[in-house]
This record gives sequence, C-alpha cells and structure tokens, in this order.
Amino acid sequence: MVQPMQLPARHAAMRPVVEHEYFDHRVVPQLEAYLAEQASSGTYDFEANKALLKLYQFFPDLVKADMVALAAGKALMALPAPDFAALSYLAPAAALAAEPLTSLARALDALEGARYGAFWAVTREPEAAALIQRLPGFADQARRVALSALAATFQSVPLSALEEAVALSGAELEAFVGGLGGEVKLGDGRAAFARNEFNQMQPKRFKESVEFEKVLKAVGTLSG
Amino acid sequence: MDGREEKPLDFDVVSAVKDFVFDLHDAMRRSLQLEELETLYTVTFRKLSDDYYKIGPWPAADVISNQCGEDQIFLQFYSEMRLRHMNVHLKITIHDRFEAWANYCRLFDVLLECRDTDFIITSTWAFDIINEFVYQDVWAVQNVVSYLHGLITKSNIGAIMEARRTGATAPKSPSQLHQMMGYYGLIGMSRLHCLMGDYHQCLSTLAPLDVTDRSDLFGSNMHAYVSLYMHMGLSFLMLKRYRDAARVLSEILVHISRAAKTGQLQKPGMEQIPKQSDKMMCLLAIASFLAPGPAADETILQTAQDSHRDRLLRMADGGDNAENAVRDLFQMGCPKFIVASVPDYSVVQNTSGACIQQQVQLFCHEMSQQLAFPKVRSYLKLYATISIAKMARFNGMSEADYLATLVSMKHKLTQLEWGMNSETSPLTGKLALALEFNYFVEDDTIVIDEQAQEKRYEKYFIAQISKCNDIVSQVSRISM
Repeated sequence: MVQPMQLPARHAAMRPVVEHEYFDHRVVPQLEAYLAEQASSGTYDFEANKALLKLYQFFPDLVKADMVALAAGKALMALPAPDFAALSYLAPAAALAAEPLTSLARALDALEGARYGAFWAVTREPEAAALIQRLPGFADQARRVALSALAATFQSVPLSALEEAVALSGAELEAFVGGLGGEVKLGDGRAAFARNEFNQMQPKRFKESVEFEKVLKAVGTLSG
Repeated sequence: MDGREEKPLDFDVVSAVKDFVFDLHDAMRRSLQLEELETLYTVTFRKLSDDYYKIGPWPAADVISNQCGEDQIFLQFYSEMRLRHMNVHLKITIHDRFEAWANYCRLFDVLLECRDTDFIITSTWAFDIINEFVYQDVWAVQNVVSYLHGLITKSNIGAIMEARRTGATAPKSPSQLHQMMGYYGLIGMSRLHCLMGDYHQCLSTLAPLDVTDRSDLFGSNMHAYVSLYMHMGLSFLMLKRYRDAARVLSEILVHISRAAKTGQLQKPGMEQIPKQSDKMMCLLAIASFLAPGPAADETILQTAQDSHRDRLLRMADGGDNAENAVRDLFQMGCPKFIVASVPDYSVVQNTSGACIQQQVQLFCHEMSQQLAFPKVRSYLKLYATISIAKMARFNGMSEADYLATLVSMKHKLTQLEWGMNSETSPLTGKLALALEFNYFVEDDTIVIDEQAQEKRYEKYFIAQISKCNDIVSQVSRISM
C-alpha cells in the first residue's frame, strides 16, 4: 500500500560516486547537492544519503547538521523501510542529540506506535515543522504509512479514527482516499479497508517442515 | 677487523625453525603445494611457536632471510605471521603496532600492483590476514576500507562468483592468492561495515557470495564461518529483521555445537569460538524474544533461553527492570564497535566507548518501543476470537492504547524476510509477519488466525529418534 518514493533522475549517473568513492571527501558537496535535490523533488536515494553520512563519519569536520536532518527526514518518509534506524546508527552523535532530530525521532515513535494524534502534533511543533516544510510529500507519505498499518489490522475503523490518523477531514479526506484507488471506502460513519493478506483469515496451507534427508536418516536409524 | 669470525645472523635460530621457513617459502612460492602449505601454517607453525616462542617473538625477517633467498614478498607474509603471533601471545609495544601496520601496507601494495603472481595461500591463512587487518582499526579506517576495496576489485572476485552462479566462463584472478584475498576481503569488508554501524552495507557487501552454501570456502573455515554469520546476524537484528537474525544465528550456533561434539573445538586455535558462541546466544535470545517462531533451531533456542532466563523473564515482565535487562543482554552480545574518523591522539578520550553507547542506546530505544508486545501476544494466543474491551482490560490498558499497540505490533513485525534463500542476496526478502499467528479486528472483535500455530509433531519425533540413537550408540561404546 505504501508506495516507495521514486529514484531521482540522476540516480544512475550518481552510482560511481555513491558506490566506490565513499572514502573520498571530495564527493561530499556532490552528495549534499544530490540530497537537497531529493528533498525538493520528492525523490529518494537511500544509499547515496547513507554514503554522505558515512563520509561525515570519516571526516567529522565536514558535518553539516542541516544535511543530517534532511537525510533523516527523507528516511522517515521511506517508512516502513528501516532506513531511519539504519541512518541513525551512522549519524553524528551530536546531531542525534539536537533538534530537529530529537523531534523527528519522537515523531517516528508516535507514527510507528500508532499514536497518530501525537504524531501530527509533533509535526506541527516549530522545530519539526521547519524541517518538514522543506520535504514536500512528507505528510502524504506519513498518511500512507498510517493507513497501511491500520489496514493490516482492521477491516474497518470509525471515521473519526481515520480522520485522526491522516489528519484530514471532509473534502480533503475524500480527495486523499479517492487517490488511493479503492483501498479505503468511506460510508456510514466508518472507513472500510479492502481485504488484504493481513486483515482476514487465510486458507490453511500445509507445508512439509522436515527435509527428506532427515526423514531418510530417521528411517535408516529405525530400520538399522 | 678484530680477527673474530663473523657469525651469520641466524646463528642462534634452531634448525627446525630454519627448515620451517625454507619449507614454507618453497610451498608458497615454488612448488605451490596447498596441502603442504596448510600443514606448515596450521600445524608446524603452532608447534614451533609452542616449543620455542612462548615468551619471545619469532626471529625478525632479516634474520631468516637467507632461508628464502631474500624473497622480499615472502618475507612480508612471514612478518605478518610473526607480528600476528606477537599480538596474540606476547606483550606488544606501540612500535610493534606501527610495524605491523606498515607491513600490511607493503604487503597489500605488492598485491595491488600485481608485480608478482607466483604464489599461493591457504584459505585459513588468507582469512587470518584479512581478519587481523580489519582489527587494525586504531589506524585510519578509510585506509583499511580502501585496501580491502582494492583487494576485492583486483581479485575479480565479484565477477568470478557471478560466473560460478550462472555457469558462464569465469574471468581470471591475477593469482590464486589474489583470489583468496579477494574472497576473504569481502567477508572482512562486511565485518568492517557492521562494526562501523553500517548494517545495510554489511549485508549488501555479501551479495557476490552464496552465504547459504556451506560447501563454499568459508564453510570449511570455522573462524570465517563464525565471523560471517555473527556480523550478518547482528546486522539483521539492528535492521529490525528479527526472523532472519534468529535464523542465521541459529544456523551458526548449530554448526558450533556440532563441532563441539566432534571435538573440533578442542583443537588449538579454536579458543575464541566458545566466547563468540556465548555472544551470539545473547543476540539470538533477543531476536527470538522479539519475534518468536520457527526460525531458530529448537535445541539451540532452548540453550539460549536457559542461559539468559532471568533477563528474558524481566524483559517479558515489562517495566523499568526490562530495559536494564535488554541493555545487559545486548551489551554482552555485541562486538566492539569502531570509530571511522582518525582519532585525535592529542585528546585523551574513549571514542570507541562513545560509539558503542550510540549503537546500544539506539537499539535499546527501539526495544523499549516493543517491550509491551510479548505480553499482548501471550494473551492473544489464548483465544480464537475475543472482544476488544475484554482484551484491553486483561492487559491493563485503555481500549485506545490497546488498539494502538495492536496496530504498532503489526507495523513493526511486518518485516523483510530473506529466509536464507540461496537464490537471493541477504539484503533482499519478502514482506512477512514475524509472528506465530495473524490477528485482525472485525468490528469490535479481535480474530486470531492460528494457522501457523498448528501443533506439528514431525520435528519432535525426528529429534527424539536421533537422540535415542545417540544414547544407544553411547551405551554400546561402554565396555562391559
């Protein structure tokens, strides 16, 4: 249900920089420009941003807290992929302990913890809001993450729960749901989710769990 | 001239050691005999070390250089062995460490230039060199990365492994030694990325190898096998792929426990394996706590859980004690992480400590988000259907909090699962729910779909048959 963000147009051209030169500090400005481009165009290249944070590890003098925050913001938008965690392990400790990353981390916990009201509240706080403003598409990605988690758990929820989860109501909500291609249906004060592999009973599947060789060995033992 | 006869440099080196150096050079550079080289490296070297070099180092390279016709390349390999022996068995000075580093650089420079390709090396030796080299992290890590990268590229190992998979004609490595160093270069690089906190790269580095193929080189080299799987397991755990973490850790722990039974671990050189095994037991206990289920071997899992019963109970209990228990367990299980930047030697600080703290802190924070799950799961397992209101009450939560926990658990435990599929790289996988059962909410009722939880007996019987057989054969061995 969650659509991954598109790769940037220059993705292929950036491969040599990303893959083989992550110990060469001269590519840092290129990777920073590439990240800024991803932010504004709504595209995403995880490996390139990871390469940038890695270069920051090697050359702490080059760290730009602003760029770390932007990379983390894009990673949050890539949920449910664990990119935010993967980047946090590499991020400079000082940046992790400061705004806007602390706010972003709280937002992540709330979103993944299905405390959607709290999530949207954090995104409206000034520190987080200033960062998110530079990340077009952030709110819609977060909405899709919330919807996909709800749809994996519920067959339907009260309309008010959906409104809280996606921070939309009325015509805006209808427009958003309309863009999802039938995954959610609104009516009778409830929002119903299309059936998927997680929100209904699955037919019983029988699968051999013991390999033939093991059975053969056991038979050999018994008859030996 | 003072009239005295000048003694050769090696006048006080015992002849067995001189012979060893001569034979080692011969096997590595002239006769190119792998089997002989393996015996010299793993058996003779150790025996001579025990006999003559328990309290002092092996002779310096220039002392024995007449045994190999002053072969400088060979002498660099010899020095690497000598310095590694010092590092493991003797007290070494900062000067020795500088020398070891300089020697690695000379040795790898020769390999990268491909000036000479007339040499062979055994799998064990190649792994030991790379493994020790990665440990040289007190020096600029980017140099280590760049040398490993060079060795991997020069060896063509990526293309060679790819050709082996597709059956195409494999490109050549400059020499057998280059190929070995490239192969173990990949495993060393994967470990290095893991220790720097780049868990994604740890896994993606392994893409050229089929890590599930035990008949491949690493499978016959216990240290390589353990290093490969330990770091893979940790990376999966950190990237929230708990099933895969449990699966690979269990796989290697089963291998180790078999080796313990056959006496392989009692052999010299295996001293580190039990310690590494204990560490991995901690990680396995965590992984299976987060995502219980069939990924791990039952006997191994039982051992892991028995060894850490108290902590796991505290974790399952939730609350303040739980977070300390997680922290303890993770710190016991994780390796010594390293710092990528060149340390500033003018400032006394423990950067490695700070780096470990960052990894521990972040991991424990993630765990703290999931500590409520095991209790919620254990209640769910008791029912086929039950009302939300009742279940929230049993769990001591408000309905809203309980529902949020259900959604969050679904979200967090829907993970990529690679499943040790030999066809694909460890980084890839299919989205799957890392739970023994599925659940969903229909109106005001929680429905628990237990299909995966069905009781199965075949594994139990197979295990019991083999256990019975073991006992019978033990009994038959007892002489009356």
